[in-house]
Order: sequence, then structure tokens, then C-alpha cells
Amino acid sequence: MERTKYKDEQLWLHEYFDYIGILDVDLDAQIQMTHSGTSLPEVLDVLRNGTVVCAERDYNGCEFTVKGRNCDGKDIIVRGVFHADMSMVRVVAIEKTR
Amino acid sequence: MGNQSGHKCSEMHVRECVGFDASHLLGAPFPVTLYGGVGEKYCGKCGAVKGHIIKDPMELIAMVAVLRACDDMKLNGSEVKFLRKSMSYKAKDLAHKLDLDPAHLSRIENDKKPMSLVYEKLLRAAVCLKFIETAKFIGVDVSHVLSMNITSAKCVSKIFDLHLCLVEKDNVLRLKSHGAADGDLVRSWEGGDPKLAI
Ligand SMILES: [Zn+2]
Ligand SMILES: [Zn+2]
Repeated sequence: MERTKYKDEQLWLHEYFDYIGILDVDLDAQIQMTHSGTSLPEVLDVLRNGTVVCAERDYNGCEFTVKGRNCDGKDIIVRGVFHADMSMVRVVAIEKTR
Repeated sequence: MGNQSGHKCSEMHVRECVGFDASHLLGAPFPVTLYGGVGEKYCGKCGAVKGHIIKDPMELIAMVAVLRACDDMKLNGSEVKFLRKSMSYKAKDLAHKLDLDPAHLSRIENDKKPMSLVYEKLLRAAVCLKFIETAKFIGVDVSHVLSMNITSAKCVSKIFDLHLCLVEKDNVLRLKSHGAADGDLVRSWEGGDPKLAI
């Protein structure tokens, strides 16, 4: 796995599901999941084990992009938001390589 | 995120979503309907549904996998694949665990070859062991899985359908029987209802 420039965000994301684990999935992301044949276990795998390749913090929380590989060797990119106030991960978009 | 009324949906509200079809999200090749445990995000201005909030997705995946593994109806190829993906195993890792040739597992997953009963039971047991805490909670006896009578799909016309009622207790998702119309909730349960922690 490639190293991340965003150590804090990555550590937090990797640990989050073991402690809080509330997941908010946008309808658009759900549709992208259906179209690309990406299931929740794969998305969770990427969030828990992937590399954070981009993160931008502001007063609302943090926008992040995390990249990982599923158990069938396909790359998956998950874009999401961490709400600072609600301690919740929101998945905004999903992309999967063919 | 514009829409017909020309506004940008921004004022998000959440209400409980009753009867959420979670099969697409879970990648389950059978219907999974959730009663409770899921929030529905909607725009306060136009009412459009914008997403869903799942309280404990890891536990949900484990529950659905264990319940399917413990149902005696024969697994088809896509269900084998679903169970493998729920455990996040690569095909070659699962093949290795079951002592199966990876090419053979691939034929099974693509419905080109049926899975023999011995391997099917091993796979079911592997699911219960992988999610042992969930299996214990639901009250699954792993040895039962190894000795179960698997019903051939040809004998049953009914598809596997899970009606789960998820309730939150101590911030953890728990499974509760749901009084579905056909009174047939977690169909697999020989001993009646799964143990409840409510
Ligand atoms: Zn709106
Ligand atoms: Zn809904």
C-alpha cells in the first residue's frame, strides 16, 4: 500500500468503524454502487484499509478521498466527508475500475 | 444537486426508514428488507430522499452473511460469491481455506458447476467462524451448520428473503424478529426465533 500524506485522517478513518461506525451513504453513491457492482463490504474495506490520497479540512469537518483494492483486485475510489459535529462518515461518491 | 423546483437541496432532515431494501447495497443476491436501524435523509424543502444512514454496517453485513449461511436452502453461485465478499476474501484465499482448486471455485461462483455438499458446509461454517460474535449472538450452533440437511433449490420455489428488524441497544445493532405479513421472518430458523437481546 502506498504511504499517505494524510496520516491523521487515515488513522481516524481506519479506526472509525471499530468504534462508532455510523455510515451515511448518499443516494448518488448508492446508484454508483449499483451500476459499478460495488457492495457495502467493499466500500467498508476501502474505508478501513485504503490509502487516503486527498483530505481537506474546514470547520464542517473533512472531505477525503480514499483509494483501495477490493478482494477481486479492482481499484475502488471512495469520496466522503467526515462530519466534525456528528461523528459520522458520509459517502458521497464511488468509482471502480473495470 | 438541483431539481425541478430549482432549489439546491441543502436542508437535510432524517427520519426512520421502514422497509429499506438493502440487497443492492449489500450486494446480496436475495431480498434483504430492513425494518428499523436505517435512517432516511431527505430534503426539508422538496422532500426528495437523498441517502440513508446505516447505524452499524459491519454488524449488518455479518448478520446477513451468518443468516444466509445458516439457512438450509442450497447456495447458488452468486450466493457463494456474496458470502466470500462479505468475508472480504480473495477467491484464491477462500479456495485455499476450503482446500478447493481456485479454478473450480470460480466455476462454482459462475454457476458452471454446483458446489458439493461437503464444501458448501465448510463454506457455511467458515462464515459462522469469521463472524463468530454475531453467530453467537444470533444463537447459531456451528456444528449444526456442518450437519444440516441442505435443501435442493429444485425442491423449493421460494426465494430466500430476509426480513430483519434492527434495533439499537447500547449503541449496538441488534436483531429482532419482524412480524412480516407472511409471518415468515428469519425463515431459516429451525428452532423458531433467533435469540433476542431486547
Ligand atoms: Zn430539495
Ligand atoms: Zn427509505
